Amino acid sequence: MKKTFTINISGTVFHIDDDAYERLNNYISQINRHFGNDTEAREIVEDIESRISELFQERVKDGNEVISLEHVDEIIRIMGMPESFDDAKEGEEPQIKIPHSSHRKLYRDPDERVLGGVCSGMGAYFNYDPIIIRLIFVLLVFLGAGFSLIIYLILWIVVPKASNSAQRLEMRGEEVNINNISKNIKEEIQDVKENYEKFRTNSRGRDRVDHAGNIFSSVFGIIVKILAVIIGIALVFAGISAIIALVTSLFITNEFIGISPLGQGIPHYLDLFVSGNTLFWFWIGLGLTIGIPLIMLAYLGAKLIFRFKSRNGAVGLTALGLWVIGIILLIFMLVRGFSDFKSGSTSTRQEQITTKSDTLYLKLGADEFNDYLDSNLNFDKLRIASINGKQFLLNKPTLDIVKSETSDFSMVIKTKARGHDLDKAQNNAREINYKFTLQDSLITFQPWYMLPEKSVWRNQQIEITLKVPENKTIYLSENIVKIIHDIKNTSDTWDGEMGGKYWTMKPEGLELVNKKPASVGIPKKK
Amino acid sequence: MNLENTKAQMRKGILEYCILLNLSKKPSYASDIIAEMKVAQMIVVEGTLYPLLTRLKNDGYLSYRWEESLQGPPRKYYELTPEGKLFLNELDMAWGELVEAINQLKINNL
Repeated sequence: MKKTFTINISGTVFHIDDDAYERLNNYISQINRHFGNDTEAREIVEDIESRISELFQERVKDGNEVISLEHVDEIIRIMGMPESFDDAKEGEEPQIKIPHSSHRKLYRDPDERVLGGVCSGMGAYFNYDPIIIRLIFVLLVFLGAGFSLIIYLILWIVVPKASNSAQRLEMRGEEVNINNISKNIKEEIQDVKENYEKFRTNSRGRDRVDHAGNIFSSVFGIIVKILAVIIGIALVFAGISAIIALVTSLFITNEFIGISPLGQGIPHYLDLFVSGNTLFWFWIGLGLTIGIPLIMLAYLGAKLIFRFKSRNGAVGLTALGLWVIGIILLIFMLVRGFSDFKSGSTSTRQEQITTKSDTLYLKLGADEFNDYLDSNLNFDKLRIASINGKQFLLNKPTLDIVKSETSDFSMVIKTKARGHDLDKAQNNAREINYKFTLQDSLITFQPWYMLPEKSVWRNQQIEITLKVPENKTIYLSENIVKIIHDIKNTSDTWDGEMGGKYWTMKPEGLELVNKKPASVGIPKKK
Repeated sequence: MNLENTKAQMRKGILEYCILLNLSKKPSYASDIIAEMKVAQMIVVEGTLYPLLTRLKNDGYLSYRWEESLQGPPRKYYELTPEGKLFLNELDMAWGELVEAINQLKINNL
């Protein structure tokens, strides 16, 4: 069994064996090289090709037969090797033509492969032992640069496999390096010079126009090629650095807060706000949406520099597909994230305050989280505390004081939360555990309540309402004003001014007591 | 210097003349010219012919036109230009002189 190609020689289609194709291709490029690259040469080569096509047609009459190596050898015997064509006009110097190099192209090498043949292909391309390239890759992976794995996968997808011998030849074609690129450009400049010389010495009008066209197209070609290389390098550089930045910000922000372009370390807190699963897919979606265009940018750059062929549109289509998936994922996860706030629930508990005193002293407990608070985040009442490397959400309760219907002090603690459905919202509301302590007539409130570990922000809130019976007095300490919220009083005193004062519940509401009752004082802690 | 090589040199010198002769009666396309040149043992490999045809054309001695063919793509039919006809006449004379000169040489050295 043999692999065949379909080729078109001057307008006729032939099937040709892999090895025969290789030999024929070599032969024709030898002829090309022999005659050079001007219009006259192209005409000769075209004529020779059409003769070859004719000779093949005679040999494969029914059109189904495949051209074999024997056929090609026979044709080469008939046509002769280009060296025997020599048609040097007398008195004219033989033209020395710079052989036109077949450019090396980047392929995956299936013969030397370990995995996808990416490293072996790169080895062939850059003329290094593939083992060195492999070592670099493995080292990069161990050095924590996980993106080298991604790069490998991308190359695996993007770079075509050298699946026939012609491609294997291209894979090992002339070395691509700075020398060669500059050599190519020099050759082109030489071509321009020659064209210009011809232009000057040639007298015939039509040829002059022809040559002027040649010069123009060569100059233009050189400019385009140089520009392509420059733009290519810029694109590769920009693309790869942006990809690295993206990967860093998405996956390793914990270690490098501050590098992240997505706002000071916010990604690193997001798991406090969005449930892990949603977040994971959100990152994947975001990564695809931003990453795919960047990868395509770098790919385009590489294509401009190395001029390798891609499989017909497969890369573009794959990229487009992944990008669309990324966007869908992103939207879907956003919707899912918001739907976690769909339902709201409230849970209420009432506690009796039993005290012999007629005056209650209210104060705020010590702020035990003060040293752990993250100064970066400051959403209204919400704070984040980092304790032993773990992040916790903190929120402030609000305190209101109203008149009691009974003759006793009592406290109502209302917790609110949202969730995907009522059950979840209810759970989220019940989960909040808020404590205060009562000691004789002193109530100490915690300044913060902390959400349990692993729970995420669902707009949890605590509203504390202290019910004060008529004619009983409360003392608001200076620091309690941090949590009190819009307490009604007869003198319309603003919350912030209510601290450090005694207030008595009258039928009309809370009333400021101007002087401290003599009989009571703040009980000392035991 | 071997015999084959010398013969090849001789043939090469008059190949242009032979092609022009071949085209003097009627226009012809490359494969036909090749067939005739092969019969006359003027060429060994076909590739030799194409550069020559192109050069003759570029020098203004030949012109060509495309003609549809029953099998395959259109063919290039070459024909002599007036310039080519003049050139052929001169070559004819030169050839006559050459043959005469050679004959003379042979007679003289018999």
